[in-house]
Amino acid sequence: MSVIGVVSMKGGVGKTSTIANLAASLGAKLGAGRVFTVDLDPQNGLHWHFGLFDQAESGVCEQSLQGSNWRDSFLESDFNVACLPYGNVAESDREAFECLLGDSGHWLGEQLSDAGLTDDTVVLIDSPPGPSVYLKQVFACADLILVVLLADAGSYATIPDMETWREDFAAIRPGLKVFYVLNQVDRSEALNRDTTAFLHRQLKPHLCPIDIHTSEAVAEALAFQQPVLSYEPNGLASHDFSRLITWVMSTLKK
Amino acid sequence: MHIIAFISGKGGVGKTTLAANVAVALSQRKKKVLLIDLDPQNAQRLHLGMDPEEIAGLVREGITPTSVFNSPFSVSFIPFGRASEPELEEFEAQLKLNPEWLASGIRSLSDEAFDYVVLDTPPGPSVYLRQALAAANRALVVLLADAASFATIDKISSLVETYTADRTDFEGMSMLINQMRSNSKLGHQVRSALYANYGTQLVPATIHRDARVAQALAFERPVLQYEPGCKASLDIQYVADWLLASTNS
Repeated sequence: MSVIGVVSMKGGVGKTSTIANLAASLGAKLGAGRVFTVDLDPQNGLHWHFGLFDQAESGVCEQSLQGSNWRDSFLESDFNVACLPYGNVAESDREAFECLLGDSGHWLGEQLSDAGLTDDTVVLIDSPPGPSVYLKQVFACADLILVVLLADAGSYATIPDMETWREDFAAIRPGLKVFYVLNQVDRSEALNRDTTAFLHRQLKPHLCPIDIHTSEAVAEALAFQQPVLSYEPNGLASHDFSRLITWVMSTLKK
Repeated sequence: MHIIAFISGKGGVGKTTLAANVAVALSQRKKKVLLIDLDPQNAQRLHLGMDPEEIAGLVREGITPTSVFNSPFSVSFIPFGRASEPELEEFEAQLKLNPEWLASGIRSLSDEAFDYVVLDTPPGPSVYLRQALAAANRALVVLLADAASFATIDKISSLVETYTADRTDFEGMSMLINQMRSNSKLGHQVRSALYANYGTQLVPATIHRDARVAQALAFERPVLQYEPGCKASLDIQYVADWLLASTNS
């Protein structure tokens, strides 16, 4: 089992779209039963990308409070990706769940190992923006972490905080791989183009060599509740996600 | 004193940018404005040209006349401040125990000190949202005209209801569409759906997408100052006029 976490210090950088589309690309390559996604973001938005909108009342939050096994909780989608939503929960349940996560540092790894997934499966985990108990769980358990950034000043300003996390965990978990990835890169806007080039220079050993370009198809695909790979299979975004997941999988094996 | 909270169900919708610029627009109308950053991301200071190494702010100083900075854009400002992980955890634990911490902090300022207090918050449910909704007279929900934002509306509405249920001085929430692309078909469809579903709750103005907003942040100043005549600046001015008109009525 390989575990990939997707994180960011700032909201709205496209974490959830990225994880959904990477998972769908991987599902298309590996076939059914190999790709799993877990939504650890109270925003509960991941399942929308897989057309599971009416099935996500219950999820990881409620079921963890009840002590259920994750194996029985994953929802199957039409895209060779199984999804465990966060769930639509009351504030009191969210708070109780966050206390549980705060008290048990390796909870995520334990749940995954209890679920008994086979060695050839890949699990992708979504997280809310910024420092949180969820982010800690992802850092404590993942084999590889993708930090999603936009090529703008707002994202740039968050890099020092992210570097602190990366360095702190590099000391505890030397095998953990952490890579930044640039999303919504827009070659037609001068500032975006310059910032992209600057970030490639500055972050080089820690930056994925493949950027995700801005594409209206990503937003449209979500409106139709499907991954962009199914909405526009031959578009730029599908191409980017497919190349990126290939790079991520080969980097995991190194 | 009138308190306005900028909130959202989803991150990255432009809350911080709009809070800063609306605060500046209100101060341009001769109002005394205090902007408080309740988001641990501590990003509001970038919009107001404040020193990023400054550690003082809400976490260490709380809300007192001495914790207020004067920004170069004639808005008074309390940044969140830089905090280590343990400091942040302790601060959040304190907020959890006292949901009125912010409201009573603002009340402790003299009533004449400010006409408007603008609150910036992190996205989604949090102790900070709860604090903001215990203090605010109204909430502005910032949205993008896309499916991801649309899907978060019911959740944020129910959070607002939950946390303002006992408030007699809460005037309600309004929704403000940001980064509207005139050439996006999906954007227009989502905006139509928003008006159809939530009509009167929408602010009767839309902030258009404008590359100058990102440029202004790269120059660490509000877009109202960076390019006062651009589309986004004019939209923000309209929202400020609408806020004043709807506060007085």
